[in-house]
Amino acid sequence: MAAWNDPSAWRARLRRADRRRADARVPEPPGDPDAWVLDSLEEHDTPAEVDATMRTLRRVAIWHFAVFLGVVLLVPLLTVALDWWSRGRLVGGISPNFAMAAVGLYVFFFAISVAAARLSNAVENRMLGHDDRLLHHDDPLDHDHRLDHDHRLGHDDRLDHHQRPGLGTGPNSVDDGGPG
Amino acid sequence: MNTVSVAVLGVLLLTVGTLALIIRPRRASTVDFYLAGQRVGVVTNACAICGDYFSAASFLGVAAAVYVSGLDGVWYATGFAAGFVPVLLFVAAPLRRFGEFSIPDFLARRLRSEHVRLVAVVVVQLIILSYLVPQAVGSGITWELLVDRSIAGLSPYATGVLLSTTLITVLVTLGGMRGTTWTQAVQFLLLLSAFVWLAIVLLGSGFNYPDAVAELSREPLTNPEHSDGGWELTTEANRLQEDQPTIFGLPGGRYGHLGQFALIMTLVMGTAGLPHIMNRYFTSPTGTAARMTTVWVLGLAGLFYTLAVLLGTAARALISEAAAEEPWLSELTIDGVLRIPEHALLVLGRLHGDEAGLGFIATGALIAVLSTIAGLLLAAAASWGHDVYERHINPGATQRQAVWAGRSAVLVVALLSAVLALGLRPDSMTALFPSVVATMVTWAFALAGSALTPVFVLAIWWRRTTAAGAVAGMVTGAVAAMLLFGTGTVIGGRGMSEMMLTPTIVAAPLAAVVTVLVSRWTRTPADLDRLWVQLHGTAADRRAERLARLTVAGPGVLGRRGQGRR
Repeated sequence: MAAWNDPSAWRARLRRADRRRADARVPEPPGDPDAWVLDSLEEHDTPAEVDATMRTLRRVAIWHFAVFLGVVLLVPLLTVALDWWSRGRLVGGISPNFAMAAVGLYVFFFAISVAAARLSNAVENRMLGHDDRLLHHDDPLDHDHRLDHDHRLGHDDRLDHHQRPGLGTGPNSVDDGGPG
Repeated sequence: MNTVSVAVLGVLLLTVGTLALIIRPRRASTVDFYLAGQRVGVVTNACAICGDYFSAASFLGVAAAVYVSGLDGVWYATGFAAGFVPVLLFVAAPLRRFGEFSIPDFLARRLRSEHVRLVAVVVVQLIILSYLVPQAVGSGITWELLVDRSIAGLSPYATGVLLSTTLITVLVTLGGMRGTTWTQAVQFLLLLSAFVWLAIVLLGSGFNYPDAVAELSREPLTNPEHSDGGWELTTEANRLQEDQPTIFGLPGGRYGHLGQFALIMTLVMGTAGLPHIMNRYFTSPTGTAARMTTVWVLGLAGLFYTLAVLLGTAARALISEAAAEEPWLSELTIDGVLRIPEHALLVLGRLHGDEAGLGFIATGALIAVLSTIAGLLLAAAASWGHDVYERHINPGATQRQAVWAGRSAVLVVALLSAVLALGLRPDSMTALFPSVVATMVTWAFALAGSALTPVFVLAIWWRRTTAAGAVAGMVTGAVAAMLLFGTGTVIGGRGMSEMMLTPTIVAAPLAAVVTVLVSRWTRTPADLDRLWVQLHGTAADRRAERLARLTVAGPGVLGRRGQGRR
């Protein structure tokens, strides 16, 4: 046991006490500690980045829907095209057609929904919610960039500068009275 | 049903009712009453959506369809489940992010038009009544078939309609969306547990699924038909090859190619326009949670319908074998085949669990009806209470007044559906049970998919959609669906008339084209960018997620560090 007047022993004791206090604290949640800092709960997206994200998500949705519809329609089409599809046997009396209708399509629906949801979430995480400083080129007030962006938009979908409320006053946060 | 079965039914309904009362909303707020405070978790909401969605048509009807038609009967289930894929891809997340109270509210705010709101209210009420009345009819018939007891001199059918409507009205009025959410989730778990129990018992008793399909496919499919000479077994006509008999494991028992495609498209498109299902998405805390809820729904629906198909096959194989040994089956069957296919699961329950098994399945059937009625009443309340009363009759209503308007709307709609259900009943509805309920539910899907879904999807994904376009699209879709459905009913037969009875395949594209054409000639809302950011931006989601994380971490973390980032 260390002597009462031994400074190194006191220092060691204090370090142990610090460790005990640290252990007693509420554990930090996993992930980037900076993400837990609350300066403000203000979150905002710009019209340009939302529009770009929406276009990507729309492509994701249409592509997945085409695959979904193709597979659903393939089952009856194969009934016409392939005799084996209805009369072949996989196990006992179960044909490929029966197996697909009774089980396979549900597995497919679940798989495609997982894939679409994960991809959509990833698109939103990547394209929205970045630091303002990194996004200054997407700032709708940045006229040069806006021109470039509008040039890329189709005529019908072009963002109308005259119809954009609040663009001169900062972020486009929405508070029009809905519950959300 | 004997005393044991009635006791099982009573205990389960009492449990569900008590649960609803315990967790009823304590605050007089419309967000609480209609949206359960927007704090319903992913799994809970998925179970509640399943409870809402799986009516008697799913619980008894899918197995019955497989029992009657073999492979073609499976497609009803496929369509029901497939409907959630477009919901996930096109609707769930943006709908929640926009964050309103109902479909009319969403369309009115997105398109900045009260005309859109009122037209959408009319369409939504038509869909709700088309769905609600057959559920009320189904509750009366289920009671008559299974319980067959009456009170106060009423017929068993009327007793069933009035008891079930009264019970569910009390639960919804007091419990609001919060109470209804939890009761629907519990009700779905009861339905699923009934299927799982029956499947385990069957497989444990030696039932072999592949061998049963092989055995059933050896002979042509026959079903009882009532004619002047009484009941007799007739061979099912083959819709694909008229010179061939229908075989259980082969297609052709119920649909031709066009009819099958039309049915699937009607069910696929219709789900995204069902008000009682879409309203549940507003209760999610974030858009991402709404999206993931749909993934869970698809997983649970897949499990549920896979079991339903297995049980329908098992019923076809086992009931005919048991008919010779069980005298009580002689009343229900003709040469070993059930006269009413919706009895399939109930008979299986009694065969493998005696009276308690019958009571369990019967309770499941009633619960399936009740949970769907609850969702429909809430959707009707949101539409009348919020969209009509709060927006047009009394715009300055307090929260308390608005909640009471919602409760009053529940009472009125419940009363109307009960009256219609009592009035619709012919002398012997029992024999018509499958056709009446299934036809009306399919009609609700057709109307939703034709009038609402195209406008809904365009409003979410096409910036140029306008209020005038939406009104024109909804009216076109609804009128086209009604005309086609009416014509198909009058013509009857196969081919084109099959397609007309499930008219979404024609009416929905027509509605979409009209919406686009009219929108191109009219002006979009003035604050379109603002609406677009609310609809597709994730700022509100991120804010909610940060708040949730901070709530978990505790207040000590607030301001603990200096410079942070967004």
